[in-house]
Amino acid sequence: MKKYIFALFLIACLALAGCGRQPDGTPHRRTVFAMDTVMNLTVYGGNGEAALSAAEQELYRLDAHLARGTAGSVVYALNHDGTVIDREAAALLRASGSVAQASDGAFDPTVAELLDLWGFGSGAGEHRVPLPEEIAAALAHVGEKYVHIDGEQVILDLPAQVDLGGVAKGWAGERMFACMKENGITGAALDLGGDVALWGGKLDGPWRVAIKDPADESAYLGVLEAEGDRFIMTSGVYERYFEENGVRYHHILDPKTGYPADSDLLSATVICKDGIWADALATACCVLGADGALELWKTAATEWVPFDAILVTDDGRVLYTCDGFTAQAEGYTYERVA
Amino acid sequence: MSGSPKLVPTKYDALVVLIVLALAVALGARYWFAPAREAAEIIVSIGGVEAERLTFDDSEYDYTNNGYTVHVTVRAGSVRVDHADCPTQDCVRTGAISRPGQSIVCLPARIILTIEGAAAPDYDAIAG
Repeated sequence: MKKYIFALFLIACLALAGCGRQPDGTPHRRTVFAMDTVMNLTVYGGNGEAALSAAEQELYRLDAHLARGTAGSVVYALNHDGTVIDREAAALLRASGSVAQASDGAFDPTVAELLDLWGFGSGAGEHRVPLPEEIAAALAHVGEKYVHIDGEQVILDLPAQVDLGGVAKGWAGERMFACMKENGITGAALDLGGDVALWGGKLDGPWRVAIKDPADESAYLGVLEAEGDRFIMTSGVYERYFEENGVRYHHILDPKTGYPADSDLLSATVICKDGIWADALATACCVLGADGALELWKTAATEWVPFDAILVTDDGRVLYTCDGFTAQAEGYTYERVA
Repeated sequence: MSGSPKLVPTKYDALVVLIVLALAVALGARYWFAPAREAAEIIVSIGGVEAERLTFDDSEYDYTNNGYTVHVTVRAGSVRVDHADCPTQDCVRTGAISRPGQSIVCLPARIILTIEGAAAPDYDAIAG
């Protein structure tokens, strides 16, 4: 009889334990306001709260360090003094220069002055269409050739001005991974304001990332099932724009023309193991257009950093280069590119 | 030296076991048979912390944080920020939202209005 009572007691204990989720399946979440956006961090396993606190502090540090408009930031110092010694800035600008070369200038970190002219810069400037001569004058100082890096020293040929906004969130994602690792986190879905960093794994299968429909921000093109230790970064013409005289002007500027990129892409989502490259490549793809982006996808695989992409064209096509993408939105033609 | 006395379960032991079993069944039933949330709600998050959940009944609210105030109006199944004294006015420009997953963000005030549907999302994050 005693054995039966003990067995029943054991079953009861197991049933009680089953009411909760396994420790690694219990998420810790935090919302962080940084880099002019809202970030939602979800972590599993390990020391969740410590990881989130470390991540939050790191995001604030990066925000203060990399923001061009913040006096005291390394970018502010570089743009004013023409030189800084800073390991982080040197690494970011070195990687930015590589993406500039890989994309034949479709991405360029020296577009700061152009961004300001259009009102997309770091200040609270009004959106406006600049005069052609203003754009021509600014274009004279655009080009990664004006940035020189020697070890941790960066020298900028003034009046060229750099903006690290095109790689900051990618680098933030890399730094988030360091915070996760240091705190024993087994899995994390880090939404850095529409750009996603996936760390480790989940108990119940691959990560599932919904890809926003550029034509309807409340809808999704589909869901991408992805492995961990990946960055999923998106650039889209719908993110920031203004209208003047019935014409829409978006914030993704072509470094060669100085005008909003006149490409056939509404959005480009890049999946890559390198956060900085993922971030910058998403912008580059938007500037290059569908054909140029797919050409870059091919050359990067062998000559630079491999990546995958989900491209949405203005004629309703979704081109994707990876497995694991399931279409959801109607009204598009989905094409798997091999 | 004598050994430990032999323990014989009494009716009180059986009672304890029964209570534990009853608790287990009750807690299990709570998880297994809990009804799904039926209607969408508006989650008001202030400074990154959930402050309030609103239903879609017609009403108006003022929320102040970080030195700014946003005026929220819920009407006919949608929610919008009518006016705000923040410098960017992005929250006002977003207009009315009505579908689960949509949100209105006022970055200067650090206030977020998000519509949460009845069903849990089948994704871990949103890119874009």
